[in-house]
Amino acid sequence: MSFLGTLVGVVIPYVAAFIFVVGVLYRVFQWSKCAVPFNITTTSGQQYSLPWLNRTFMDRFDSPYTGWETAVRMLMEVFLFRSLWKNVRYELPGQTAVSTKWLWLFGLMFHWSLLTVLIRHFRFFLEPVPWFVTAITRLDGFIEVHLSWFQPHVVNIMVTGLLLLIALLYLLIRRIAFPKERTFSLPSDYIALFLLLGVVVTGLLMRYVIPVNVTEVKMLAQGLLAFNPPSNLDLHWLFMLHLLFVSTLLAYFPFSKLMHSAGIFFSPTRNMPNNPRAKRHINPWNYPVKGVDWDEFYENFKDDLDELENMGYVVKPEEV
Amino acid sequence: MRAPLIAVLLIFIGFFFFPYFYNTAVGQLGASLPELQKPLGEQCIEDPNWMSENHMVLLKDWRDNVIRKGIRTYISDTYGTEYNISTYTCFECHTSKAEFCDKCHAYTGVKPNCWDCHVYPELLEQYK
Repeated sequence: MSFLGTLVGVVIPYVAAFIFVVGVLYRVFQWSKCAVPFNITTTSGQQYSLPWLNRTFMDRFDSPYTGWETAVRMLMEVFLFRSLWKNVRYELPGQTAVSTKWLWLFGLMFHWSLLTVLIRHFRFFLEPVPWFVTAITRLDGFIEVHLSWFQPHVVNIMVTGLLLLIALLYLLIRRIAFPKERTFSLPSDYIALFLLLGVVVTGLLMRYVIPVNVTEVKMLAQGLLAFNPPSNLDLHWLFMLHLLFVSTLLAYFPFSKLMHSAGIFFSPTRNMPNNPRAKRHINPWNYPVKGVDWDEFYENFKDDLDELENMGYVVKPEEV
Repeated sequence: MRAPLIAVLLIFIGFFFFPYFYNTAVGQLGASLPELQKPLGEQCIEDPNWMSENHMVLLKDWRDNVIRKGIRTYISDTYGTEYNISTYTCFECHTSKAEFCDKCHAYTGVKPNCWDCHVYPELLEQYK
């Protein structure tokens, strides 16, 4: 391989993977050590309190009381984005909250497509390719085409790849075209989207427009996994670009908002049960308070207390 | 915060390091391209490197030529030789699907639908 090929194909992916692993672990351990001063669970259902207060089935998960209810709510958040489902937009003339589910729809579309695409990419990393990767690929490519005017090597349209592009474009256009979203968008929001778009566009180009040799891609992936990268590969420039985008994304990941993938599990508003009435939440920041007993108190204010007692007031507390 | 830490570490190790563990467990870590069966003839109908990358395009072209246009002859771009368009032309040199086709297809996780309809050398051997 050329110098550039070794740099982009071997060195940069290793460096990026190292930054990714160390960075994610560092941030995750930092988060796990963070103090949680208060029980700040977000709730949207009837809290468990007295036996005659009726709760619906969903109240158990909207206002979880036990550990497993909290876990179920977390899973619903991770897999279904339940809090985004409740997204509303405030309409001024009528002063009404209108439910907007577009962000939920495209967000869900993006994340599920990304997961499917990642699992499909296991065919480059796993040897032998396990059945579930093949099964998902077949399911994903259930639309079969043959267009004589288009790329003749294309047989199956991978639905998730195209959904990924559509969802990402919506998420980008949302930040550019909607006034409110445009105002609160930061450069870091766009960088994440542009990097992901770069990965997706180069990936789709490889599948539909400029085919590359997948056996060489797999040989590189296998070599990288075994820490024995092959040196005789002639990798396509488009694949190099794809790999460069992925490496950049991986290296950028621990420092970015993309860490929400791990952060969701550490959100105190989501990972705590709503049981502050039943169980006292101790603030770890509380300094130790030394109590004062009656004898010490009496010693300190002996004169005043004796005077009060002489006036006929009861000063000494009842024995408990 | 023990539970979320464990959850995240499990996902992280289970997903990001999964290929490494899987390949090591199977004993195929760093598996390179499998050895293919040596074809019988002297040369392929086109340049072998071109064929390894573009045989699917050629085969689809052949299919369209035969089924839709009724053209049964193919003239090699590289060598100028004339060939009969048929899978049997391939079978003259590539005598095994399992030892030739499947090797790379399994390696890259590709499942072509050729054999849903077409016969392959092993099946021919069986019913000869």
